[in-house]
Amino acid sequence: MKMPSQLGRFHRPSFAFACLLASTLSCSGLAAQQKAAAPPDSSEYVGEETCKTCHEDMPAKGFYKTFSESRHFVTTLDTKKGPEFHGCEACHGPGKAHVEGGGDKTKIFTFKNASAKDVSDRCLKCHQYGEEHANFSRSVHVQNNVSCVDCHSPHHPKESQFLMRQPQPQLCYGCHTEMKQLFTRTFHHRVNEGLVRCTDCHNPHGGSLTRQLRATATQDLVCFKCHADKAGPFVFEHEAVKIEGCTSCHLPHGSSNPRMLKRSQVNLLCLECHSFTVDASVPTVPTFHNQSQKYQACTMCHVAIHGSNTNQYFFKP
Amino acid sequence: MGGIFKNAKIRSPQANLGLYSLALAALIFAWAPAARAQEDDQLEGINRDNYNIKQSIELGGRIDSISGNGDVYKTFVNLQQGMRLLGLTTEMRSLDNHGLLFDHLYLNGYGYGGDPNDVTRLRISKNKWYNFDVMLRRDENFWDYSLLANPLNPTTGFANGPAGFGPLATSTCTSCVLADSPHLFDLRRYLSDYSLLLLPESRVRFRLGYSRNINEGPSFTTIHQGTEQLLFQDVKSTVNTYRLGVDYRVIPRTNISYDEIWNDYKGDTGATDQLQQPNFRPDNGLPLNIFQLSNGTPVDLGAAFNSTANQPCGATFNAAPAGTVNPTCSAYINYLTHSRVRTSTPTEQISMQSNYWKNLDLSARFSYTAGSADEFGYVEDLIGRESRTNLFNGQTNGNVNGERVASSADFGLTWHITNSLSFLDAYHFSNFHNPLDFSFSDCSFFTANLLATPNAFAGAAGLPVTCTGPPGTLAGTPAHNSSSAPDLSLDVNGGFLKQLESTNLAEFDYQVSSKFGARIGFRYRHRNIDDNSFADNMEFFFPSNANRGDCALVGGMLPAGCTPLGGGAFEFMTPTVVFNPGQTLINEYSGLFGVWARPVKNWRISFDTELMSADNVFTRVSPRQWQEYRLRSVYKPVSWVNISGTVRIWEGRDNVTQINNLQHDRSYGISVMFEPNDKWAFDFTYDYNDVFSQILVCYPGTPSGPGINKCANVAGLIEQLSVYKNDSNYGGFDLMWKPVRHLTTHLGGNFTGTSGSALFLNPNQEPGPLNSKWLSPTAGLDYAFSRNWMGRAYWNYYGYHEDFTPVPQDMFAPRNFRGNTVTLSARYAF
Repeated sequence: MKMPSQLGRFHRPSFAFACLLASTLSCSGLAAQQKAAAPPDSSEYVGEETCKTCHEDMPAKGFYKTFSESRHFVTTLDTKKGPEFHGCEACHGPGKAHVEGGGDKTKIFTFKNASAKDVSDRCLKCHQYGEEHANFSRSVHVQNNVSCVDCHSPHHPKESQFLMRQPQPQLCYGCHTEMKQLFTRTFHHRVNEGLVRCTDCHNPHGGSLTRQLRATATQDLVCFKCHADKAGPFVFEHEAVKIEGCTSCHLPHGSSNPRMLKRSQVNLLCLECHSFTVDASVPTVPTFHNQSQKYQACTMCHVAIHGSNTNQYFFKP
Repeated sequence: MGGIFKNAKIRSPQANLGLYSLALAALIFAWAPAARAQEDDQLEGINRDNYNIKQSIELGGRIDSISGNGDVYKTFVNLQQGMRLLGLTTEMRSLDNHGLLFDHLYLNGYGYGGDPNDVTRLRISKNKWYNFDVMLRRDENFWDYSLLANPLNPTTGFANGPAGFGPLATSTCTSCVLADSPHLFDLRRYLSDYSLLLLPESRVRFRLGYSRNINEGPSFTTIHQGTEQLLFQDVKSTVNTYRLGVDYRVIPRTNISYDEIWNDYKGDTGATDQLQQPNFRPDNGLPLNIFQLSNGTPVDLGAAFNSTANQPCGATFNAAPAGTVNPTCSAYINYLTHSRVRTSTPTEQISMQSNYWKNLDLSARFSYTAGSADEFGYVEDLIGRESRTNLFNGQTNGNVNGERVASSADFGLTWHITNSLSFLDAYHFSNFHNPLDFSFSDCSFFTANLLATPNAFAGAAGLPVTCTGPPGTLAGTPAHNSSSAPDLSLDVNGGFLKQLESTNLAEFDYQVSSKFGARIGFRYRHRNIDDNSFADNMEFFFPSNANRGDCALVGGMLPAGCTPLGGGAFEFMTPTVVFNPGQTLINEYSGLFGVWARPVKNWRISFDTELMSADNVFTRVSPRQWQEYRLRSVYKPVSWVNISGTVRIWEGRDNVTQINNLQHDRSYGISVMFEPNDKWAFDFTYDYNDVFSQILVCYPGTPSGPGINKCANVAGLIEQLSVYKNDSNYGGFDLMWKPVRHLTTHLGGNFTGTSGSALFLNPNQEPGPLNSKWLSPTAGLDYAFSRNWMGRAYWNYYGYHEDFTPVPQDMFAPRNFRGNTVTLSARYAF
């Protein structure tokens, strides 16, 4: 026997989304009367060779050499885009006034004292596109005035892959101090060992989910990317897993409790939901489960606790 | 220095002043920031064939000494002895940025040769043509922490028990105590991620991705049928994810992307009963196949042994023959289960990002998944005894069919109203539903005890399935009791879980000045949850005792749905039973507020809070109200000092009648780092974490002690306030010191002390990890023999200790260990 089809409901959210998008674009179409920024005056740009004449070893020895060895140097090879996308001036802006001012720092953009918004605007000019950075302007980091250069260092990276100031997780621990002790607990995701990175689960550049969590390719909980056997779907679901998420029972960073559970004893965790109450909507513990005499470990019997295809009591997978 | 002061008594005051000044100057010099010594990223490398090449390789080995619980050491640390390729790095850069196949290559890896984790990262790119990223990870995941899934068997002996197994009721059965977790495993996880981006700077870009995740290895699990049997489980699951995407820059600063993603999951895990003996300690000296029937057949009595609670059964062993298993007891002779789970979920995704309009950032994404979830060839075959039902052999065959359908959408907008004021809106929508059903047939054969052979009833004709009994089955009347299951059943069980969720966050951000900003927002989240199930059964009941179960006589009459089949058998066909508890609707409302400040250039402070209230919850532990407060501060008084602090407080409650749930998780941490020069550096971190939860629990138990009440509305149950506390103090430090030019020394460690309490329902329970200490100090040195060669020697200590209690699990299977690991290596870099 087949279940009633629910497919018709799909069209509603997609239609709603389309309406939302259309209305937003039409509203912003009014803003479209506001033209996009006019292209810059190319005569204001001097080229990276001019920058090199002063900055070859300033402010530090080998300063220009570090830049020439970095991925950003690729911009100097471009022949299609304007000078505002080339070399040093792609980030620091036109340099003519700075040069003519004898190196006047006020005549060029410096990242050191700039606001997070100004910094991110510069970087996102090139790096906006793609899922990774699409939501940066709405990220918790930029809302707290954390800019791109707080984590990335185009000139002095310690990790060359993504021009990071420090490798993970030390970089993240610099602000998220409370996480270090969690990953040092006895049961933990192997972040300090380098097997798992903070960015495997979180998108530091912003995201639509809470805590900027990522999702799997099928838009499921990010946990299932590695713990795929828990994803199901199952005939008999442990609803809390799918509805409330893995964090209803587990502490995802680290815990002193086995399996990174929230409680030291499994049965205490289970009883917090599976208790007799008037309005209980979950199965309660049957009367023959005398907790004082035996049945101390619920999951010794209810082994398929993340969901089962064959048994409604999760006795078997 | 000592020689200078040798004749201090006869030196002039002026000379002394000069010496002190010299010492003071030296001290200041030592503290003054100075240029760092060359590190790998400053090595020149070699130039060859239009490439600059830098490489490093570190070879070495580990020596270790472990005492205490070796399995817990393997669970937490698992660093073993042996040779290792501890690390390698290769970096290649084309000198003219026009390399033949690539312009940049970066390869990094570590942990080869036996460490529990090894990781390899590769990135190759050719300017404007492609970026190729690879990450390969292997995780040796050994897990055996004995308290998990442990029945906490007491040491009370068994009357007539076999030798070595507490042969008298008054003897002590230390072999009854499980030293290993019944759910221990030794798995290996292989994670491979490949990503190729073609034409990264062109208007049209192509993306190809592939990920593979394999999880495999031996493990143990348990099953509850009759008793709690220990099964050997061969885990194997594989996920392949394929991704094909294209990005198109439609107009300046606007990009549209389309992705086709295919996710394919294969689960091939099976389980058998290999007559696991209940005791896993290698030193117990117990003979193999310790439990036997009187005819010599070995049986498995399971993992739970508690003679006081009649586990596995009352009078488990016979007086004669001595030590043999009571044949009416629940036990397994053989068990097998296997199936193939196949889930295939293709996903289409379209997304857009744009900041074409001057003050507007837009992003949008929509994805749709519609796939199949199936389990083929499910087989379960049990031979043994379930004493409650007289089951001797159960055979189940079936298949699972279903779907996984999901759609999700995100929309984000940031409107920079002015240079200082921004409005942002982020909307998220998701909808999934998973209808699946399990169709199976169940053939059951029954005996009065383990020594008897089953009988097969031949009196009913035209059965939809032919059931064949185990070897030795004879024609005759099965030995049912009133609790016996149907002799044959054909079932379809289905489930349907659905959630529709929409969330919208609207927020205003105002940058008051370059030193101060604030934001305020509102988040609304709506969820609609539906959970239905159905069951469709066709059952056949044979004599003896054919009027049982769904065909049990009611007032002397056959119930509806039951029809006689002839020969004393009955058929029961039920109309589909649908369980529909109705939808659960939840609305959550949150207010958000945050500020950030930079009072001085080198000091950043941020504070944010979110206050949530909901009109409903899905589980008892989900709070109806919660608040979160986060305060962070990073201060750099000088360039070589960094002081950071964090306060994070989360409070939640669902304090309605019969739940009374209060929770909090509070964390306070500080970290200080000094890096004045390349001669020494020091960092120190301290964190205090306080976790608390209380909730009313109501459960069947034997009431005892003050303050334990009968559960409201339900007789025979007791109610208690379950209070859980877990306080953790963490301290860590790392000191680096270069006393002389070529020598670098390190000293550090991490220390975690946990204390807490919880409601203990059973006298054999122990605090376990609630009162524990976890120490891992380290010390080492690096000696640079030359510019390119370095020798390294490191010592690591790992110590885990749980406070002792006089319960059997702590007395006979403690989980403490001490481990010393020395790592010696040589490193070459250029």
